[in-house]
Amino acid sequence: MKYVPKQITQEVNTTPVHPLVNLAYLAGTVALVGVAIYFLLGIAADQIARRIGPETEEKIGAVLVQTFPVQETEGANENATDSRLEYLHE
Amino acid sequence: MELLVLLSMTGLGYFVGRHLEQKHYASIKEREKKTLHIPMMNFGAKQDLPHAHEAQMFVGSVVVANDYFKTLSAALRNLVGGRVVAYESLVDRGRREALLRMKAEAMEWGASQIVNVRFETSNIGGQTGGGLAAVEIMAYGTAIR
Repeated sequence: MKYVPKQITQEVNTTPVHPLVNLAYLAGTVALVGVAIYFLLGIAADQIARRIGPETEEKIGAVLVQTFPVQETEGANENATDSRLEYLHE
Repeated sequence: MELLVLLSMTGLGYFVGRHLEQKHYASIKEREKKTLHIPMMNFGAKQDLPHAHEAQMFVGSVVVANDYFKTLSAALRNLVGGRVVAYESLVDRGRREALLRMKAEAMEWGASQIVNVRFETSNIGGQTGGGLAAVEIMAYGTAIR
């Protein structure tokens, strides 16, 4: 069989799409999915908040309070030492 | 500030990377045209080689790294899955360049044809999660004359 040189003119290993179009499509998809997740979580939280009882709310609150940093207080006179509230005593 | 750095790096990667890619493709096409008269085949591992006075193995190797724009595109693609278009041209260039280097060396030796042509690839720093992310593409074959 005789070898006949033939130049390949068609690019078959690369997708003919502009890189910026590709990036815009990807960024758009990710942004759309992000917005959808944001709204779905909002709707879900709204529905759950309506259905749970006060006991469950207290339990969730107790768990959340434990995660807050502990503040040093000085008994009943704690506001007097708070520099942010000094203007109230003036 | 961070966004500005990200945008600058992406812009730089896009414009410089695209310019270099187009330049490289032009060079590849020109050299492919020039070396078209030497046939390259992938048979020869389990078949008899064509009659020849001499045979020698030649290796062509290239290491290609991606620019920031391609990294960003690939990272976004990684979130949703699918065809990583940004890397296709990079790997295609690497394969063709490795093949051309191997062919050029074989032609210098006086090869009439190259048989049993194979490709190998390996990651360089791609798995460590930082630093250089590049791929080595190696083409090798048996040249005969």
